[in-house]
Amino acid sequence: MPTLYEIREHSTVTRGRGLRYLFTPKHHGAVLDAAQWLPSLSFEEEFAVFDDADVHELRDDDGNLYGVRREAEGSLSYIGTRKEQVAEFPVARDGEAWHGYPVYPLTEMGQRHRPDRSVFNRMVEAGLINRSQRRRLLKGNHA
Amino acid sequence: MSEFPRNGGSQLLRFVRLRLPNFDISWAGPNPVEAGFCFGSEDGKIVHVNEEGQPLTMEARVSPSHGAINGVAGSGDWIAASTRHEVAMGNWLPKGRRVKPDVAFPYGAHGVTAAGAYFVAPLGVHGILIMQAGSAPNDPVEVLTSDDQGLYFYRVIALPGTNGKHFLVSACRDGGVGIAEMRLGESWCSMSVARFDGLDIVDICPMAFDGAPAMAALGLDGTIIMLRDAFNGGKAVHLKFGTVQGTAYRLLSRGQDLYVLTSRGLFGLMKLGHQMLSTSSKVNTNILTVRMEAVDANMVGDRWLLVVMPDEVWRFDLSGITKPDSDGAPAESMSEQTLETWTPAWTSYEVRQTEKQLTAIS
Repeated sequence: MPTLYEIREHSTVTRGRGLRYLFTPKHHGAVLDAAQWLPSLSFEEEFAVFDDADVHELRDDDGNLYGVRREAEGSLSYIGTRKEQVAEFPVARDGEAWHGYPVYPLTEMGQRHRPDRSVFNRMVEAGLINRSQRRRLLKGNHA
Repeated sequence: MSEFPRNGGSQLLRFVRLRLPNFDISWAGPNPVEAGFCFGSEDGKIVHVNEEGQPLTMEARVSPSHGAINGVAGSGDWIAASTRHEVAMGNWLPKGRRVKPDVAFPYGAHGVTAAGAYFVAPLGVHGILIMQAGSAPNDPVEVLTSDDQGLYFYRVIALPGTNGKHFLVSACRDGGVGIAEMRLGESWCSMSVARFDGLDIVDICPMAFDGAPAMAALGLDGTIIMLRDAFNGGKAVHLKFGTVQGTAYRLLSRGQDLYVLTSRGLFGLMKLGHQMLSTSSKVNTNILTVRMEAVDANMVGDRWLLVVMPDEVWRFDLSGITKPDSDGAPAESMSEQTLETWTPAWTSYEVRQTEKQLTAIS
């Protein structure tokens, strides 16, 4: 996927709550200090991470959504340029479109951008990760 | 005791299940204070146990964020523990005898290890933390950082160097393997980096090799690179066994044997260290295979291998499987692999050394 120069909205909404989704230049090559989606990941693949997060309600207490990309054989794909395997989609105001970026495992200082334990529990219940992967992600390791 | 069949079921590999009630184990490794093991929990506690898994101490909360423990190390009277939220350090003496409060460095780490009187922790894109054991709140710590975006510090080991100094050897993901001599109080230090095209280096371990410093690195796909005399630009051996499948997690060594933990199992590559001396382009290695979906693993001394499973720890006694009976390492399969030997190109980088401060844990 080339660098994005303007905000682009996905053509469909999520299967769950019908959420709109934006692809932003900031996380597609325009701001190199910011978290970046992997260039090899297509827009459709990025949206699928968001769509799964909404369908399976992978959200924390504040309403932020989190997603992963599971391969057919059960492994987790890298989705960010710094070996991130989890994406965060900060909660949007009612009626507004969402956006997201890869955040995990150690991209920021302190407590921010680290999914709660309950989010990983929901990922296990949804069959997106197994229990070993859950614990590895909780520790900040790759899975 | 539980057993895995091996060699077509004719022999058995024994292990013992260790578990603690209401303690979800996220990390298991050596007890930094005395004989036995140390367990870290998913909610930020540690406990010391004996070799049968029975607690020797009360559970202690060491992570102020209640994060899952991913590493524990000891130096003198001090213990450091790491989580994805912080690196915390405290005195293991009873509270009434402690001379300084517990402290934390508010950056997440992938683990922590001891280097003499210091603790060293890989901070991912933020570099490598070097923290003196016994530091107090507001004391400075040093962080090595690189402007090279490809250097993601994922695992660090400390190897003894010259004049009492340590070498810090890092698994740097796509950035390869980095080696730097630990020099404190300087603004810059030099780090030698060897990259391996297409390899995502996730772990590194020391190897016993003829008295000379040697190490092995693990790629995400299970590829192993053995580096001989790496501090002096020695040769490297590159190996990939088809038997080793899954996403690679850990690489551990015991003498000449290497153990690879992946998402699909534990693979013992027996006597692989000898291959660094081989003049042949082919290598035959017994591979011990135990299928499992594990979380993590660590070696304790020369005998125990602790494998963290989702609900418990499996304790393997390695002294029972590698007795020197001819080529008698137990094996599920024999694997032949073509060796690729070459001299890696090491590039020297200037790495910034900055001071940051510790905070008190209330």
